[in-house]
Amino acid sequence: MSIKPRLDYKSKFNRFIYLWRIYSSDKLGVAGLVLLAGISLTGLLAPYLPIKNPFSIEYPRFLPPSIEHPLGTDHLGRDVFSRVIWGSRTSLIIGFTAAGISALLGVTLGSIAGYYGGLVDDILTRIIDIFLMIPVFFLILFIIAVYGSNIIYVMVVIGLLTWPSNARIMRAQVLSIREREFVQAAILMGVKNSKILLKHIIPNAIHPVIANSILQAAGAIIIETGISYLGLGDPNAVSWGRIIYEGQSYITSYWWISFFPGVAIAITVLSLYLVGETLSKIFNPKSMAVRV
Amino acid sequence: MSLLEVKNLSVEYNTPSGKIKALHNLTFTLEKGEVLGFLGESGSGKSTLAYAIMGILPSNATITSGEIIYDGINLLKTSERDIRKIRGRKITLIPQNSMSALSPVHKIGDQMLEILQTHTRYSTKKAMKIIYNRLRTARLSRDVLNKYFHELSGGMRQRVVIAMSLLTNPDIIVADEPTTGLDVIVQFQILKELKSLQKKLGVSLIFISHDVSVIAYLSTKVAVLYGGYLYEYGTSYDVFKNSKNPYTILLLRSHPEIKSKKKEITEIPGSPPNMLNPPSGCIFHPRCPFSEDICKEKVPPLIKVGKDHFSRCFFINKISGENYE
Amino acid sequence: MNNLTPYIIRRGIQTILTIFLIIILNFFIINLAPGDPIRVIAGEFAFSNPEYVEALRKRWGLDKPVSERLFIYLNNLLHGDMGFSFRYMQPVAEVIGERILATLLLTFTSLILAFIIGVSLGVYSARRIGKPVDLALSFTMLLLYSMPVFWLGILLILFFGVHLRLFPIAGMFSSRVSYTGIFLVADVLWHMFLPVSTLTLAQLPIYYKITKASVIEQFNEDYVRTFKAYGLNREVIFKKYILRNAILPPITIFGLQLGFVLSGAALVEIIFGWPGMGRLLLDAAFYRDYPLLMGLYLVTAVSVALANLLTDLTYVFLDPRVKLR
Repeated sequence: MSIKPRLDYKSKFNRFIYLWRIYSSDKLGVAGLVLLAGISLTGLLAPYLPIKNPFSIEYPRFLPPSIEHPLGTDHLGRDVFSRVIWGSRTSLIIGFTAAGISALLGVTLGSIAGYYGGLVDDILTRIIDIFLMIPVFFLILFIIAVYGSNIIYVMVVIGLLTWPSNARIMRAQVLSIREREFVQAAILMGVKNSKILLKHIIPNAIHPVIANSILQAAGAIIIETGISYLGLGDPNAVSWGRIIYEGQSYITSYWWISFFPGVAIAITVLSLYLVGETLSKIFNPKSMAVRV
Repeated sequence: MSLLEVKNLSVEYNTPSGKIKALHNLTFTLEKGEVLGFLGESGSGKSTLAYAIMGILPSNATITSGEIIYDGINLLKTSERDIRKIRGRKITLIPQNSMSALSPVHKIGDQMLEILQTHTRYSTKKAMKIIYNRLRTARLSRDVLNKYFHELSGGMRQRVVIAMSLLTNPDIIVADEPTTGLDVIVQFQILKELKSLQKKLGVSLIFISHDVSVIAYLSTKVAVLYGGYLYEYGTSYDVFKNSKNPYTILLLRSHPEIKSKKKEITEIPGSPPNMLNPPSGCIFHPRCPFSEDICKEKVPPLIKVGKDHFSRCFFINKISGENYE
Repeated sequence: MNNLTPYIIRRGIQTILTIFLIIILNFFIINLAPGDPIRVIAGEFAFSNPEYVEALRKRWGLDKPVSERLFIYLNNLLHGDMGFSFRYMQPVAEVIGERILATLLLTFTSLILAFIIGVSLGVYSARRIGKPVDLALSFTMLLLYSMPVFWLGILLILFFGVHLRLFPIAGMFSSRVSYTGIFLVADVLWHMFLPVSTLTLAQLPIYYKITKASVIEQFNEDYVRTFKAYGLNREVIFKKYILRNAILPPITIFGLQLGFVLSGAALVEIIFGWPGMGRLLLDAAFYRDYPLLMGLYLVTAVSVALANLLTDLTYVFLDPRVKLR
């Protein structure tokens, strides 16, 4: 599937409808979207759902899954099901915030590099190359160990380390759009550079970055759960990784504690991948949609 | 017996949006030493014809009727084993100009060798001799053998592809828009060489193009295609100097020529047909100045208008007397 | 190729420069972080005995300003001295050296396995696209791709190690018996099975996906059509030409992954108690063991830079379209 949506539709609403028609032809993409919507909604509404308090330790410990506790209880007597539901809030917030920061930085720097070219572009490309060699997980481990395990740090650091892939995409887009007639016309007419960038180039160039950001959100979730799994996550937040970490020692007898959060991670990441990949196929006809 | 006889060939494509009839009952012959030019706009079915003859139609295409008879053998009813002795050997292809007409990661020489060794049992030494010979015919130096396809200019790429088509001494060469996309000067060079090559070797050529001047330059016989139908068929003179078909005439009129005395070029009104939902009756009727009700209802038959000259139209009599340069 | 040597030299210099920059960057990040390592080393004497703390500080060179420490560090590096680990009380080079082999054993094995299996399955799927096998494989790969690697490891431990009691769930060697020779090898392999399987399964999907997409892309390339027209055997076209063209993207990925051969297995090593560099990293971060941290980052950065260099160079040989800028 390699249809490029016509980006010169008059009304934003029309554009959206057109996009939706193309998107919905990919069944997996739709499934992913539904899944993602479901998870997001659940996470959003968690405080209002008729589920048990995830922090409450009043229930009997180590109960296997039952109707009363669909996913059992853990070593402190907390209901695993509600912890898994609340865990989605943590993961989604981290995923989208990190991806958002990365997108913001990437779009800004990538546009500047692509639009102004020359020395600015050269320097930025070098910086991007160096950043791409940094082992993100390692660095985050270190930063947490030194500065403390605060969820904000995790989100921000992931965002600060992963912007290069967005910058690259943005830069390539800007380079090609810059040559188009309507941009050249605007330049000739004397429109300010910043206005050209903001009003004309970026809105047309941003689509692949959106697709990439969704994939990056998935990546951020994987990193965060990995960190929580090592016990370095925020102990006050309900994180899937941390639940797995806590349940590890009991895995042989009370497997459900570590099992279900893993399923939750897989489903969430899966839904993000499906959506991100479908979007990638639409916006980059020849892309092989690799998650960076 | 003609060298190649195509009878009532019909090809249909099955696409997600619906069925497309790419060729309708196409019938023509090719004699030894002839150059048959197929003239048509994009979508007229000319590439489909080339692929059908070469047996490389895509998997969603079906040959719904017809025969392709080469040297008395119906290619559509021959076994895979016997076809292999003909396809790529007695009938070869010059593909459209493209950067990836050959494998980009293999050397050109190796690929030429591969083709020769697929069809013959020659030793490498003998095969190389033949390859050198063909390179010379196509005005290429031997250096080309060690190069990769993308390293060559457009003109040289086409020369390579021409040389390739000659490797097995074919009887028929099917050339699918071989000069499209090349500079005009290079185009002319290649056409000139192709013409002299064809005369010298006596090989029959099926030449497919949308370019009137190219077809006019090379062909001895011309077939005009539109919407998958054969609209006119005859000698080069018949079709270009004595056309009896509205489409051909309009096509010629829309074609600019330096030598002509014409002062105006007129474009054909309307646009090419939507092959998913083609016009009823004569496919050309929405754009034809002569069209009347009957044209909307029935497909006009091919009518003989001269010795070996055929035209598909109900109103041929309206056309006589109008000659164009 | 007369452009090759200058290219290698240029890339070599770029790589060294990049490594240099990373070393400096690492140095500053680590040394400017809050938390005083001396206090950690001093332990219980941190507050009671200031002279001891000062002596320690002097001994470790931490009384000098940061910029001076940078020069000392760089100078030492050139002499092969990566510093002395606070925590392990050994030269950093030794600490890392003891464990690097264990890590490489895991990562190289799984990298190669993932490549071979992933690419093979990708090719297999591409030739059967749309069929049930393809759909099943695609779905499985998608699931594998989404699973966090540590959870996968836990599942494998649960199933194979605990439930089936087939494989050991921790360590690289059996602790109670000491094997030698071939038994030692067998013992290690037995311990390796689960961690390598985890890593391989985690990396498989990306090779599968890239390969499958790449092969399918090749199916639609012009040269495939040309070769079919020339009557080449389908298997020959596939094995010799399509595969050779399609293998390039998976190799790029392989090259990328190669860079993470020292850092990528950290989680798995921790889960399986594998005595590799993963544990080191965790400890070093916790205990503010600056020298060890810097050593680890240095080693990682060097491997990534080298892997990139290697991949670029290999690509020059594999893809003739690469321009030697």
